[in-house]
Amino acid sequence: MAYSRKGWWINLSACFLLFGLWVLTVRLGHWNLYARGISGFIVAVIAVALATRAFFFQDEIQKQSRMREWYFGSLIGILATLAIVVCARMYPGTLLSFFHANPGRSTTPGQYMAIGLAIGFTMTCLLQVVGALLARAVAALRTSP
Amino acid sequence: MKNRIRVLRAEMGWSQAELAERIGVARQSVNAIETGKADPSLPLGMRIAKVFGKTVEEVFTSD
Repeated sequence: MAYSRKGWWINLSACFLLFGLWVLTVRLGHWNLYARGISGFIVAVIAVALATRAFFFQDEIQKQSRMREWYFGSLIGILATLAIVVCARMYPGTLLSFFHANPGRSTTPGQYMAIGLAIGFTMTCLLQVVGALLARAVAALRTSP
Repeated sequence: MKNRIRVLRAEMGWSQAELAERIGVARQSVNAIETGKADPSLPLGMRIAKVFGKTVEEVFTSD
């Protein structure tokens, strides 16, 4: 059985919807730590199951495309991280001033974690798109006479 | 690698989706093979040749 592009998007949307619903429920319901842990584990298991299904239902051509996207995405990710690290090493004060622009406002560890997760998530999504575009460009170059 | 899938498919009167169904891949994958963006493995190539009733050499040719 082949795995269509539509199926891939449905799976991905289901994962995000599930995660969003879980975050909303936990935030609004003021659940205790135990309930959060159990429900988070269940959500993670469902997300992993959907991702595993998505992977094993792909045909070989789809796997080839994904591998190309991951290759280019990772390559750009490493280069981008390297550039950020080099800049941060050159101007160490910039990074500190970025996080302490407003000393009067307290930033909790949770907020730092949220910022870190948001940056990581955004970078991953962005680089996947760039990777996919690059893979398409390379494929188009290969086929052009 | 070049192929004659588009021509053979037209001869049989099949759509990309129909061929995809017969060889067990996604329609987008058939499109990728037809346009040369992706190369099929030997088993998939043999499956494609079989549904057209041809040999692999009759469907696929090297550049």
